[in-house]
Amino acid sequence: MRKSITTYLTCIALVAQVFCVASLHAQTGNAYALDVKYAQRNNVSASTYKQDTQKQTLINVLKELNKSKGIYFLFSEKGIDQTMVNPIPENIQNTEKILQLVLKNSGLAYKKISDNTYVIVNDNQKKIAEINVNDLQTFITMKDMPGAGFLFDVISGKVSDQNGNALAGVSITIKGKTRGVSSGTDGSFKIDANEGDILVFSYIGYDSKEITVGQDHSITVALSETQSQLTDVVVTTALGIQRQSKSLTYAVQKVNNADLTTVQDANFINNLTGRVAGVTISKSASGIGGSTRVILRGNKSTRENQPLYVIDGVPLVNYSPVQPNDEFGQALGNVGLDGGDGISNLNPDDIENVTVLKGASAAALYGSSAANGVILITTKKGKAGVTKIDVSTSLTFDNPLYKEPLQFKYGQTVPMTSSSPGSLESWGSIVNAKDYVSDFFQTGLTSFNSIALSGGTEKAQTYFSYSYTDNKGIVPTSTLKKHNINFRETAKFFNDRLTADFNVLFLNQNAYNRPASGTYDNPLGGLYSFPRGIDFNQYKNYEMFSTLRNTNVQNWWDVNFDKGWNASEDQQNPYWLLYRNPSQNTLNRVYSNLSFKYKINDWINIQARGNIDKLYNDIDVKSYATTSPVLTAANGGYSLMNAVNTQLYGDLLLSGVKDLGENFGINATVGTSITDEKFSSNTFGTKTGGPGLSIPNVFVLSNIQPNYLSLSQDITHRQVQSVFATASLNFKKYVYVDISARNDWSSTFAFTPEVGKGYLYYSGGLNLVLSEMTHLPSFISFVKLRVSYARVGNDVSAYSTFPPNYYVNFDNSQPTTYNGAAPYPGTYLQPEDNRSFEAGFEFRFFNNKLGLDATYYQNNNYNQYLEVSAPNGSGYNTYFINGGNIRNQGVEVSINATPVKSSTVTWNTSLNYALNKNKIISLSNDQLNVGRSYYTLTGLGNLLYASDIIVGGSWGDIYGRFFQRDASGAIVVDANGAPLKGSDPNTQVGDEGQKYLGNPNPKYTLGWSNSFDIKHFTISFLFDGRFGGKVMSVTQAILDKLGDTKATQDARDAGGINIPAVYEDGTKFVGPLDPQTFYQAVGGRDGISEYYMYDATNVRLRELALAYNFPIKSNCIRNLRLSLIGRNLFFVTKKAPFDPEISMATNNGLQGTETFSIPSTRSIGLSLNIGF
Amino acid sequence: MKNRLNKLSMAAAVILIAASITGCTKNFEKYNTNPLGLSEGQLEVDYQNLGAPLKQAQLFIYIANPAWAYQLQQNLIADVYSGYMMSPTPFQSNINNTNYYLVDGWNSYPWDWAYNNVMNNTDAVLKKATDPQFEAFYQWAKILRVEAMHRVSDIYGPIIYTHYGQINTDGSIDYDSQKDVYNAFFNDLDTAINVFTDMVQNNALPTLTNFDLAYGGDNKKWLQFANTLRLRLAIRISKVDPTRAKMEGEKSLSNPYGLLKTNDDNCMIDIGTNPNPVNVINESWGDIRLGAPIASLMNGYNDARISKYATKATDPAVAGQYIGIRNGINIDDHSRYADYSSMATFPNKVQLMVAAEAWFLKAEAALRGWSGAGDMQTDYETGISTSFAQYGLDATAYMQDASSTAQPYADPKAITPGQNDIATGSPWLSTITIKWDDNAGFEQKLERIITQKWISMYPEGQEAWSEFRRTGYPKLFPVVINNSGGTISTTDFIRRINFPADERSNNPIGVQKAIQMLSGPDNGGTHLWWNP
Repeated sequence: MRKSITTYLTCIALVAQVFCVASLHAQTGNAYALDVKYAQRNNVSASTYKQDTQKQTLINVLKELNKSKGIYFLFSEKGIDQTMVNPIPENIQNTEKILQLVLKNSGLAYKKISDNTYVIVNDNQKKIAEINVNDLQTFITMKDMPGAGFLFDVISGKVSDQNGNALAGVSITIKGKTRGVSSGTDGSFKIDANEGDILVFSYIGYDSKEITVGQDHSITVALSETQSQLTDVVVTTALGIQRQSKSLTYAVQKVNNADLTTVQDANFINNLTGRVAGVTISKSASGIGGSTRVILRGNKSTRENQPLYVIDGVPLVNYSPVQPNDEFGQALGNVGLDGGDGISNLNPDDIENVTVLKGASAAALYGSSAANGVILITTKKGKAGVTKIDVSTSLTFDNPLYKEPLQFKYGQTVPMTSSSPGSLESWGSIVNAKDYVSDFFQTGLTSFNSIALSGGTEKAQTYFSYSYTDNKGIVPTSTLKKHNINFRETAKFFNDRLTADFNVLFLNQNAYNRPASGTYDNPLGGLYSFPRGIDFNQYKNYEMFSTLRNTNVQNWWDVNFDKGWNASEDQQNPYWLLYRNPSQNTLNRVYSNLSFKYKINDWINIQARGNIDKLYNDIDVKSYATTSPVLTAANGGYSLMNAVNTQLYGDLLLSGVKDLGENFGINATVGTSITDEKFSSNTFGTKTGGPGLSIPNVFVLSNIQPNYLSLSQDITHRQVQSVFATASLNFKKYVYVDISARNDWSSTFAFTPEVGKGYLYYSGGLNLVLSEMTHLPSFISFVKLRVSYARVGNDVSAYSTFPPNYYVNFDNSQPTTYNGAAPYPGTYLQPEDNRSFEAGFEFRFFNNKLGLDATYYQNNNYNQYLEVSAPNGSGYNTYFINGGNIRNQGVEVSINATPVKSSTVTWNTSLNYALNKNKIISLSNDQLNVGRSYYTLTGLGNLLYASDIIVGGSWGDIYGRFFQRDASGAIVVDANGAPLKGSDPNTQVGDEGQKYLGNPNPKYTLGWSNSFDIKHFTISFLFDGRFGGKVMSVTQAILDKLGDTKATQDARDAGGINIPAVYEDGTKFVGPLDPQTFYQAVGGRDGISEYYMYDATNVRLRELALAYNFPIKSNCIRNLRLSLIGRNLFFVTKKAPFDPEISMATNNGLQGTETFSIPSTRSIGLSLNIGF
Repeated sequence: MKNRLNKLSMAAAVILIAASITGCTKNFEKYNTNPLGLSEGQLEVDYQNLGAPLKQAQLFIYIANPAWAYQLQQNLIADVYSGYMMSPTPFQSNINNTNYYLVDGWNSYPWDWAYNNVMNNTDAVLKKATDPQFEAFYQWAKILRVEAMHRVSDIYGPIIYTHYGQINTDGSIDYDSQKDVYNAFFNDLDTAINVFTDMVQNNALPTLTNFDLAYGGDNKKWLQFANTLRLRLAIRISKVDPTRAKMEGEKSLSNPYGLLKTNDDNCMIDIGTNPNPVNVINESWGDIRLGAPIASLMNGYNDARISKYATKATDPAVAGQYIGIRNGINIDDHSRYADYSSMATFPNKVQLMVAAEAWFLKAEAALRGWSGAGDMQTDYETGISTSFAQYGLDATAYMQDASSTAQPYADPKAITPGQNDIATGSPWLSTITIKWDDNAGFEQKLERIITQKWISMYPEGQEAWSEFRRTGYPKLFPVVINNSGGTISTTDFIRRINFPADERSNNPIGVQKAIQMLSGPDNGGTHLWWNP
């Protein structure tokens, strides 16, 4: 204990030491700077000039200078122009020197406010100091001077971005002339120009714009962000290092705030869909606020495949407390839930931009989990200048995008009577019942309101934002309320050498009855399978009084406590589940960050950062008595989960950027970091199969009968310490060589020889900017070739290196549980080994109007940490091994173009294409002879869907039951005409009843986004498509068996099903198959899976926005934009009965299947953005 | 110069940090130790290191909790094949174990759960309790292990027993043939019984008390249990190896402390506050009901125990009757048979062995002429009366009934009318009567003993199914639908379960060798070694 404290102290002392070194260096730097100033002064006084007594009026002198040097002047007050000054000295070229001499002894002084603009003021130090570029408009221009007879008109105006935010520092020049100015912090500018002159507005990261000066001398210009990556676009790379995009040796794609907020999704990460090649996003079927699964360049691991999220250089915990783990939807005990995720916690309006580092080369500096790529999020800061207030509000209406194909024509097989509820199936006679299902869904409503204040001085800037999201789901009672508060302060000290940056984010989110998938606890099960012909409306009153229990109990067609009717678990009154089985998921999160960056000299700086992320996730699920006994105890059930996640992060970085001689340059960083993550959760619940609660329907822990209390505790702790270095060397800024190395020490390797040496990552890349190396035809603006290779490690599961033999067990009769899971006997665990290679090129043509970026990559994930089931006779049930090789290969192509660009119309378009091929090459460790050829993500059990990773297959392959067929492919039926299940003795997944049925991952994806700027209008839309892949609908299977689907109606209407069929003895089955016999054999949750596989190809209009930017005359309002927005508007094509993009869970299991999932929604609404 | 010095000190600082980090990893062992795990040191208190694992072992011989694990371990296999029970649920579109389509996803449970809860825990104790002062734990572990694993062997045949924990260089683990494994069972029981006999003779302290879920630490009762278990196994191999069987059986019969005698000796594992898993499956899930054969026999015999075994049907077609469901029939929907006779509500104890069984084993031993078995009729009648006494009933009149036989079975709810019926005169309808007849032939005596033993052992289907396979008694109703694809004969009934899928994928080499030990292919039609 004592030792460990000492160690800590040593660590702290060392950090302090580095700071001491840094500050020493800083002092020397200052001294040096003073010396330079001194020398300059001496030079000025030493210069020779002739004192000329021939004084002139200032205005005449300035006119002269304006003509000869293209500079122009403003005046702080009237009358100054007539002051007599010295004439222009000869032989002096430096403008400032000239001005000094001209104004000498005149009582006037000047202040330079841009390269070619000067303000003349009465020589008063105080006044000079007060002059601020922001005051530009209050100055008097030359034009205002009486009789000046100037050559120019003063054009004034404002420059902003597409969203109306002022752009400071925009260069405004007159085409063909050298004159120019730049805009002030509020975006305002003044320039002297003639009618007919063409003003060129250019700004880094934005498309240049040309405007011809007309009669109107007030110009408002909105610049649009560059779609194609220009050479001078600055990209944030690993650890927050800023790099020019042309210097990168790997592919990155950047998404700006506008793309995330124009057609906003409650989880901003969903806005990346279609915008970034190689990103595949699946949403959980939980509606607004549900979790999202993001995969970059294919699935690589049996454990974690989602990328690492990094906010402003610091890793973010993206964590979901629970996810459904089977078709029943069970997540928390047998309660079905989607626990949400961490990335959806952010307020999209706080995000400046998102950079996607798709490959390991880009992410190698991040260490563990870098193998899955990194998504870097840069948040907004305050900016120096006037205080800005941005208010945005949007209201969208959500409706189901499609309907489950159901039938209402045929009635209940055995109709209900007063003494019996009748049958669950609807294979009866024609009743032509009413469609009661559509009425169940309501119009969802999502409102998003945010306000952001920012401002500050050159020394300190503040950003504050608050946002509130309020959603009413399409399922009654389902709501989501989210409050985000963000405060950020950035300040500079010690002559701007030290920059301190502090921010704190607070989130409170409350999800009530977030829809879950699965057959359990899901209102859609009872809703869809309600026998046709009974009046659904009578059960909208979901409870009735029970004399036996003296309270209200469930009221449903086959649930009646007093009559002793008890339905099956998936047949509950939908409204009962919503009102009497409510779930509530409350999230409170504090995320705070403090960083200090010290500029040691003009090319080296040192940065220290500390971060804390604390997340409280509470899930509370109540279940009233008379809910199905399979789901709930007799007196009601209660589940409570309290999860706490704490991450502490700190790092120390020393970075330098320097040109070494004429031809070489270096950009390098060395650093160290520590991440400590601790997760704990306590779960309490009632067991089923007993009374559960003491007093019915009172949901407090003390009311759970001790014998029926289930309790579990989960704790995970991991600490990773790292040192790293990276350098980018360039030759003449057209050859770049990147190298990086990182060594991690993870606590998960304690008890192994690996712990001391840690594990190394490295990457290297080469980048040639051909267009700068050689002369190319003029239509080619830019050509770059890049290649990189990375090898990254990853740690193993916490506690896996030294598992205990016994766990404490919470059971009344058994205190301990044997733990048969351990590293393979005689071996120890090693780090994972992920190797990736990528090569690509970037072409831009026609003055950057057309860009093409293509990448080929290959990633092999070797030596994975695998938990494989052990032969039981070994004394273990699970071996932990390193092994396997999962390969992903793919191509990504992005095309950006600006086909139309004029002063009134601009059309930007971009196309993203990504193709990924995944192959499982090995899943074993050859040295260990662990006879493993498959790894189960979701087991089949008694259900339809299984997902296995199998050697020779692809990640996520779906397995299931299949038809028995004869040689011709005809299905084999029994004597009654019921199809039989097949058996495959060569199956590789250990169960002869299972066969490969398809893979849910798309073969390739396409995204096509467009934006048109037409005067004040902006129209943008995004189509995206996934092509290939197969998904399974368990819903259709279950409902087919019950005779509730449209398919069963069609079959009955047609008089049978015409599929080639043979009897078991090989004789041909004559005539159509009887629909009821067929669907009762094929359907159901244990039917023939093969029949329920659908092509996952789909193309949709993902986003559409029509925005109008009001021309602003007011001084108070900066910008005003009103947009009509739509999301998920329609499918151009869709073949499955559900949206193949949604999945039951967002962890590794249950991909490409759904069970009673709510439909995706179409959102249409309005959004208003006002800037003050 | 100054600059260079600064750079040097900077570099030095970075290196120092790097070096210090390796120093910081000292806490890693603490961080990477699972706080929910138990160290050996923590377990030593109160001998938990030896006792707690055996507590877990006791609870998983017949899985007490979770109920669904028991459902797949036994309820949808032996409980059904023994004729005790049948499920009204048409699992997997009614193509499942109950009609001889052996569901791979189900049939790993008897194997996996025995190895992951009993074999591993007993093995841990055998490794730890080598010191003579822990002898009781050591030998008790052996008894529990034999009790658990003979049930597994009686399902699959060859199992991993003597090679447990011995991983071959090719990653496989070797099986024992059933003959070898029975031999190992006898050896294990032999030493355990000898030690326990000594302990009882010397009035050793009851060290097992805190962990014993059946007998509260009574060494003598465990000794009687072990003796009865040895007799059970000896009787089991009496056909295939009569000499060994006689030798092992007579050892038990001659042990001074003998067999289980009264219902106080019944081995009932106290499962605490967990409900009996049968209750959960029967009452909460409605997935199990009474089997047709046991209702037929007990109705025919006017057996009073039936009211303790089951409840009357509530389905209007059969209301008020004790009527079971026949195995392997056509079921379209759960509701069709949901209201046939349910099981009674059982106490929070799972029954591993009853004293009545010991008396019937003795009766058969006497029938086979083993010394020390006593009088055949006395054994038989004591067996019946002990079983009746278990339920607070009197058997006097019952034992004198020389005419009653099984009731014919009529299923009014059969989808195809009459398809499920077993009429009077059917070869599948038992004709054996109750009253002992000393003049009856060997086979008739055997049928009488086994039929009564079968009724007495209810609801423990595993032993009942094994004894049915060995003797063919009592007469059970064959399946109506046979989905085995010809591998299981309808009239010969199912003989075993094929090796589990988990073993086929995790230990393929071991399984291939084990299949060679079978007398036929690896399917449900192949007879086990003790059942030639």
